[in-house]
Amino acid sequence: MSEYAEELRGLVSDVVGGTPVEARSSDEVWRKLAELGLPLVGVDEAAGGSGGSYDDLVTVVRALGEHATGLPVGESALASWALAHDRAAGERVTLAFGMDAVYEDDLSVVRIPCVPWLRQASAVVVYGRSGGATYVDLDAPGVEVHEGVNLAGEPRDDLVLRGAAMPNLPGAPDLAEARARFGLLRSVAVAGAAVGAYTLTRGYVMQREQFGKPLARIPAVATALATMRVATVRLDAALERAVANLARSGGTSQRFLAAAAAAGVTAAATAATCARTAHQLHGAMGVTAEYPLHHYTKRLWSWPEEAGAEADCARYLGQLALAGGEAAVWDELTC
Amino acid sequence: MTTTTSPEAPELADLRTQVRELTGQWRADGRYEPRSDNWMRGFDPDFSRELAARGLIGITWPRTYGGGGRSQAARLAVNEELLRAGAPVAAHWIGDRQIGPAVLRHGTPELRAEILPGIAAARYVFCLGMSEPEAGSDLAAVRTTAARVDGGWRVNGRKIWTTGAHKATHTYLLARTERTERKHEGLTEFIVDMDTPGIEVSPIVDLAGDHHFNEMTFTDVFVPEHRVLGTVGNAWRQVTEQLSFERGGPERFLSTYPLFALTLRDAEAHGADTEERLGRLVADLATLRRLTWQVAASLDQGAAPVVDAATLKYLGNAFENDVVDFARRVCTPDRAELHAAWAQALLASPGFTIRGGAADVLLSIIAKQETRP
Ligand SMILES: Cc1cc2nc3c(=O)[nH]c(=O)nc-3n(C[C@H](O)[C@H](O)[C@H](O)COP(=O)(O)OP(=O)(O)OC[C@H]3O[C@@H](n4cnc5c(N)ncnc54)[C@H](O)[C@@H]3O)c2cc1C
Repeated sequence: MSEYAEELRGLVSDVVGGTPVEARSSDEVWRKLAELGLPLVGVDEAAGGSGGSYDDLVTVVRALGEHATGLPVGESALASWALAHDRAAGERVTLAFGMDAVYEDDLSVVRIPCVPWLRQASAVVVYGRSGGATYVDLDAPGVEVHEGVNLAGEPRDDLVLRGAAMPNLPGAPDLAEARARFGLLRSVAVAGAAVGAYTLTRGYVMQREQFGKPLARIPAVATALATMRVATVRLDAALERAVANLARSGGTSQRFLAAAAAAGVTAAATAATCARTAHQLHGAMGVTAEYPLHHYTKRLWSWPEEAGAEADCARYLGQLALAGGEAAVWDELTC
Repeated sequence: MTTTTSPEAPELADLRTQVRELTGQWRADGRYEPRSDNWMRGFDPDFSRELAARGLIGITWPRTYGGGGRSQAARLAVNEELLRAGAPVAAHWIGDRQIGPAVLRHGTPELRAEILPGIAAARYVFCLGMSEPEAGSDLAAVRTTAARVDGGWRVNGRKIWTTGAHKATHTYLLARTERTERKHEGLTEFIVDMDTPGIEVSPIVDLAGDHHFNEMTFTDVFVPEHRVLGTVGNAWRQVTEQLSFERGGPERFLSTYPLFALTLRDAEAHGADTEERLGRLVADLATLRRLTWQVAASLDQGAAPVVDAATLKYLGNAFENDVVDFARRVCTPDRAELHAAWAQALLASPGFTIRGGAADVLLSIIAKQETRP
C-alpha cells in the first residue's frame, strides 16, 4: 500500500469532506484536486505528471469513493500515463475504450458511448478494438461530444468521430494493461463507496431507536450490518492482492490481469450487497433525496459494470483455470 | 487496508516441496486417498509422525519447546499444501492449530515443556472438550464443573460433539470452577489426560456413517493443579482468543478443495455458463487465500484479528458449499470418480457452517465488534 496513504487521504478529505455531495460544485472540486496535482498521480514528473505510483492513485481514488465523489482523477491519471511516451501529460485528458464502439449508418462515423466526464476534457486517449491507442483533440474538426449521465448524474458522454484526425500513440501501453488498470481503479472506487455506505448505515442503526433500543441491538439488523462489513473486508482483500500482483509481476503479466479480473468480480458482488443492505437498514429515510445514502448507492449501482461486464471477468477467469488446470490455479493462488 | 509485504518468501517454496513430495509418495504407495474434509476425518498418526519428523508440526513455536521457530506464513504454506493434497492430518491438526498456541500464550513454563514437544512430535493427540448438550453456540453456558480438591481439581460433567475423542491422548477442557452471577466469569481451562480414570467416551455416528465425534462423560475425574491452563476463572478471555486461531486458517475454505481440483479436470465441456461460475469460484478462492494470509500476518505481529478471522470463516464456509454446488453441475453420470467425490463432500458439508462457530454466530460477533459504542 502507498506509503503516503495517510497524507493523500488527508488531501482528498480536505477538498471534499464536510460539504454535502449535492452542494459540491464539480468544477470547484476539480480545480482544487488539480491544484494538488492529484489527477496526475502515478505519472512521471519528467512527463509532466505529479510523480508517485499507481498505489498512490489507488489511495486517492478510494478516498474519493468514500466521499461519493466520482470525478475522473483515475481516468485523467491513466490517460496521461498512457500518453507519457508520446506526449506531455495533461489533467484534462481522459480515457476511452472503443470496445463498445458502434458505427453509424455512414461507416465513417464512429460513436464511443459513455466516456466519463468527456465534456470536461480537452483531449482523449482512445484505445481501439485492435489494441492501438490514438489521440483525439476534442477541439479538432469532426469531433463531437454528446452529453449523457449515469444513474448518479455523473457525465458519461458519447464521443462521436466523423472522420476526425486521430494520430497514433505508438508508445502507449498495451490495451490489456490499460483496461486492467482502469478496471481495477473502478473496483477501488466501488470499495470506497461501499465503505461510505457502510459507515452511514452503521451510524444510522446505532443511533435510530425502535422497540425501545437502537436498531443495531436487534439481532437481524446486526447480522445484516455484519454482512456489509464482510463484503467490504472481502473486496479490500481482492484489491490488495491485485495491487500487489501489479507491483510484483508487472502490468502485462497474466498474474495481474487475472487478479484485476477477480477484483472486478468481487467488486460487483460487494456493490450489490452493500447497496441493497444499506437501503434496507435505513428504512424510508434512505429513499429520500435529502438523506445522503443515495449518493453512494447510485454509484454502487453504476460503477461496477462501467469498466467491463462482471460476467466477462468471471468467464475470463474460468477459461484461464480450465486452460491451466489445477496446478496453475494453485500456483497463482499461493505465489 | 492493512500494510503487507510480499506474500511468498522464497524459503517457503522449500516447505511446499517437502509437503508435495511426502503426500505424493504416500499416494503413490496407496497409503491414503485425497478426500474432502480430511483435516477432520482423515486420522493417521503415522502420517502425522512423518510430518513431525520433518519439523512441520508446531512450526511457529520456539525451538526450546520442540517447535520450528518460524513464521505464521511458513505454517500457512505447509497447511495449505496439506489441505490441497486432501491429506489425513486430523491426528495433529487440533493440537497444532489451537491447543499448542493456547499453551504457549497462557501456559506456565512447566506446562509448555510438558505439552508442546509431545504435540510437535505427533505423540500427543488432542481433542476439544468445549461443547455440551446445553452449551452449543452459547459456550459460556457450560455446566461441567471442576471443584478444588487436594493437589488439583475434580471434574464432573458431559461434553458432546468431541471430534477425535476416541483416539485422543489428551483433551482440552472448559469447565466451571465457580458459580457466579455472570456466566462469562468463573470458567477455567484444563489439559486432561484421556486415560485418567472416570473419563468415558461413546461414539456418535454422523449422517455419512462416519465416526469422528463423540460424547465424553467425566465422573470424579482428577486433574492435577499444574494442568490448569492460564488463570483460574479467566477462561472466557482465553478461549475467545483461541477461537481466532481456530477460525482464521485455510481449512475454513479448503475443506472441499480436493473436489474442486477434480471438477477443474472435468468442467471443460460444459460451456460458457460453467466457465463463468468457475471464474467466480476462482475469484473467491483467490480473495480468501489473501485474507487468510493477512490473518497469518496479523498473528505474526501479535494481534488477535477477530473480525478478519470471523469474516474468513464465514466467507470460506460459503465457498466450500459453492464448490459442492458447482461439482453437481459438472458431474455427469459417466464421471464416477467425480460423482463419488461430490457425494462424499456433500455429506460432509452441513457441518462446515456449524463447527467452530455457526455462520450466524460469526456475523453476530462481527456486528458486536463493529457496533461497540
Ligand atoms: C462436524 C462437527 C465437529 C465438531 N467438533 C467439535 C469438537 O471437537 N469439540 C467441541 O467442543 N464441539 C464440536 N462441535 C460442536 C460445535 O462447536 C457446535 O455444534 C456449535 O458451536 C453450535 O452449537 P449447537 O450445535 O449446539 O447449535 P445451537 O447453539 O443449538 O444452534 C443451532 C443453530 O441456531 C442458530 N443460532 C444459535 N445461536 C445463534 C445466535 N446467537 N445468533 C444467530 N443464530 C444462532 C445457528 O444457525 C445454529 O447453527 C462440532 C460440530 C460439528 C458439526
